[in-house]
Amino acid sequence: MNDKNGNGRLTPLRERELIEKAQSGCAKSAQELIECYQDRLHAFVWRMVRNDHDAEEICQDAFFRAFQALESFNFAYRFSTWLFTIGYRLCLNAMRRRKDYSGDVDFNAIRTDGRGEESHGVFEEIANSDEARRLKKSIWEAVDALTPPQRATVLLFYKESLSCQEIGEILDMPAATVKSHLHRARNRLKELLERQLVEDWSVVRIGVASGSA
Amino acid sequence: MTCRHVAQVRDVYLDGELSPSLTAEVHAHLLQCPECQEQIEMFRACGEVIAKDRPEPMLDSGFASRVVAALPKTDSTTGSGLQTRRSLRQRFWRLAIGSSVPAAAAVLFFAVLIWPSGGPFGEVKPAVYEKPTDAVQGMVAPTLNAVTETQDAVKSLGKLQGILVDEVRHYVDEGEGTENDRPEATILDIFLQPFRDVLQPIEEQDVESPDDEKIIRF
Repeated sequence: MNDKNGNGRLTPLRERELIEKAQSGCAKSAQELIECYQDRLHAFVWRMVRNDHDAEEICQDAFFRAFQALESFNFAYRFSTWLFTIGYRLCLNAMRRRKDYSGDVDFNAIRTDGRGEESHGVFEEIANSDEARRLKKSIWEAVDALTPPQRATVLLFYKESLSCQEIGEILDMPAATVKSHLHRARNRLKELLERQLVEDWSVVRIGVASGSA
Repeated sequence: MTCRHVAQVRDVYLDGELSPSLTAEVHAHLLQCPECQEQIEMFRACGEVIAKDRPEPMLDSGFASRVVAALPKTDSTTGSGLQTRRSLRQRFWRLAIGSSVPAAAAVLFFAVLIWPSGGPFGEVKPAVYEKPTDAVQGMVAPTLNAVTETQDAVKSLGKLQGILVDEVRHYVDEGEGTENDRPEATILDIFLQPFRDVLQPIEEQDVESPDDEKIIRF
């Protein structure tokens, strides 16, 4: 049986089967569910809180809470949506505790980093690779500079390929507000990345496609 | 189409939701405007990097096992979690004891009622009554008698059941049973247990629905 689709994610049928087994007390199925979602959730959570320890703790807590209430899980929802909803709220809590809810970072540091790496571009072949790395780094730093709702929207939209409606369910806001966050996030990314001296942005796309990071 | 127009439809275009005719107009503009083209290319690069690049640290391989190990093992105290074999075993014994004792008592009670010649606890003599209240009393008396006798019988059954419960306790305590896990032992509880089971099939639960507003109560 093919349990996973093209991008390595669980098929809805297999996911339902695992949830039902976990509901009836099968620890093995619970573990398989966790293993299927842990990387996606952790990537999202880590990007939100930008702290290894907090990210792991939040992931653990999110799975813990999800499984505690698994018996009452409603199959009208997607398990991932549910999990990300819990994860996002735990992230907000952690950020509030740390009092950095605004999500602002020192952007001067990012620009300095970018310029520092720019000087390596000497040979064309290596320059491409370095350039791709530099741009990827800049993009992630620009993403980190977004406000938490903007960052969450951008991550869920691109990384999880979710619709604005689904993102709205996770962030607990109407789809129209999600669109507005996405629009502002793009404007902010443009504002931040326009400062970069870039000859060809498609270099990054090729770099990503070939898996060099 | 001007640069301003492209900026206005930028999001819709990037998300592939722009009408074919307007998309064609955007493409025409991009061909002659390197600035707009660079901007769109930048957004595409961002989307691609965010979607496919994975610079975040990974969780270690033992993470899932740790989470599963930390999950509550019984549903009696937390109201949920993964049910273990032990908790299921306890529910079976509770149900078995809880339903067999009242069933035995009911059989005994009906046996008393339908016993030939006035019941097993002695002959009830027919009487002539002077007042209607005496007649009622005379009719109720054998039943009251039977009830008292049944209560006695139930008490002895209770003793028997006490022994049985001790056995079960012993059985449960073989493992890592705690005070909370032990089955209830009073007669009243034993009698009420089947009704509780019917009314609350899966213990008392602090049910949390997947509705996102109720998932976490911060």
